[in-house]
Amino acid sequence: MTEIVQQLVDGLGRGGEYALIALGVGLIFGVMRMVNFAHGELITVSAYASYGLALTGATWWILVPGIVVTAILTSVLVEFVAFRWVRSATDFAMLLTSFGVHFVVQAAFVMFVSASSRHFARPDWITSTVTIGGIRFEAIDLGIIAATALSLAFTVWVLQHTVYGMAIRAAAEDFDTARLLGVRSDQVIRMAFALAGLLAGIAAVFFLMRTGRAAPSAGLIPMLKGVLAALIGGLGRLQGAVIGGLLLGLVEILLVSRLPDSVDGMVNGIVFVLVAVLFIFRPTGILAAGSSHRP
Amino acid sequence: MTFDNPLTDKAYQVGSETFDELLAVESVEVSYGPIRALYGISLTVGSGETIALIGPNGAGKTSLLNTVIGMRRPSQGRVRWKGRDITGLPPQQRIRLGMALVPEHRRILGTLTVEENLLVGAITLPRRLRQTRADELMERFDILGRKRSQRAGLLSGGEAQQLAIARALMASPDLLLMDEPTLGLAPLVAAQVFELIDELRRSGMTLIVVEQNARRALESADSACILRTGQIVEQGPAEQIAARDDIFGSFLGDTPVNRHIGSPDGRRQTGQAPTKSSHD
Repeated sequence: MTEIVQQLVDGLGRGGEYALIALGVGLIFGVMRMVNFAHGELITVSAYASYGLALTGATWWILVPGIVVTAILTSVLVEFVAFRWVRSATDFAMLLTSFGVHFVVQAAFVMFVSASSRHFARPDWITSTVTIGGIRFEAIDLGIIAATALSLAFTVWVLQHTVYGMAIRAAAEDFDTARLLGVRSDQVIRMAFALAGLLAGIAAVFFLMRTGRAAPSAGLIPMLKGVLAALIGGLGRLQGAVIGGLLLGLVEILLVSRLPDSVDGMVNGIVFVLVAVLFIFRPTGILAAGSSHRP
Repeated sequence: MTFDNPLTDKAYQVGSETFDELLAVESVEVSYGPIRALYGISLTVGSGETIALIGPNGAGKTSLLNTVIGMRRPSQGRVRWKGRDITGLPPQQRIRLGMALVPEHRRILGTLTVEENLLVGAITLPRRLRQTRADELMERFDILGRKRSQRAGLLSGGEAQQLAIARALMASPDLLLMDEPTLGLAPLVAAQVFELIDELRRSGMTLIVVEQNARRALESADSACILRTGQIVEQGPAEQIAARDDIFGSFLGDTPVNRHIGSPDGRRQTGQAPTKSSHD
């Protein structure tokens, strides 16, 4: 019993990170109909920002807001520099652009910093555990779960209770109609990128606390997991992104803990096979994606 | 409640020039790729006027409304609003200048609630006015008030049409464009929509109404424009047009000529010159 609860919390912690990234991917997909394969770069850039800040002697009290602000600014900047030019282009052009951004950012860090990774100190409490009701949990898992819950609550509040959040949902459903009501394309797209940046920034905080490492490809795996989670949930469905993220985290932890150590390396492969099987039965994910018009 | 639009006779000053009309469409041509939808359309609309835009399917009525609201960029000609050339402006800016469209097929945002649809329609208003205006319109359209928290996708056709109209009225536009507002509605519900159009007209709002039900539309209009294959073929006071049986016979009646011009969505047009368009 104890073990199951521990694994559940562990899975939710990991899944929470995926959910935050997937929600960002879903928000951007909603307003642009583009799967943003450059979303992981927000984590990469934030990783180098924390490395730079850590070099100046900054503590995690500085690093945390630094990471979040970097992710938000990077997200908005990438939209301004790259994606705004392909808004009305074909899906394929947008996909290629997102890959382009991914490779340019990666190459920039290889060229201007180093191909090898840079390390910075992880917070002291990272390995500490908390005992609740006789069950020991890793503090960071509880932190992620709390932060995910808060971020999701904030996102829901923005989307449900502010007129700009409603405009993002309106644009995600039918962009042309949203424009006919006076919604500014620039504004909703920028807001969606800022919100996605915020969520990626929060995910990045925990990811970097765990790894304490900046590398040119730091964001690749989180991005892939985030996109996968968004696909599992149903692209464009924001609740789906959250469900997909949590489910992915839980399944991964379950596999890691149940499989013999010798096949540990196959966890990702098994996850992809499971997702493929899911798509046979639900081609558009757990919650079917809605239709939409592009800006 | 009122719809805040006093009938005005004012002229609009742009630079040294003075313009009398609220809206002027000047020699507008619109194409969809190689397919021409509008051939040099010119039309002026005075403040407080109601114009019925009628014609068979594929005549270019929706294309004309889309050009006025900015969803379609004309390849030639221009659109003036209060004298100012707005041809290049996107719809979201035209909305801010005082236009609104009740789109064809209503295009309700089905995943948003009724109230959220209205609030998005008020995005151009100052923040403090949005909720007040939504409450006003939910009082006027009481069914929307009763269903304010319901997902708009669950509304019936008539309710959805009321929502589409209320949503367009949120920003108190000077000009309201309505594209087939009674399409697919039961006769009783369609009659209510026409009553609403009359009410808006009496309040002094400027209206351009595209309607399949030409006879009824003429009753609610000051003037009428008849479009056929992308051209205005008749224009004049609504009563005069209504009295012209020849027009109804040749353009709007059930003669086969009027049935299959262009595709049923009213957007496509053959590339032929309009004078030779005997498609059947």
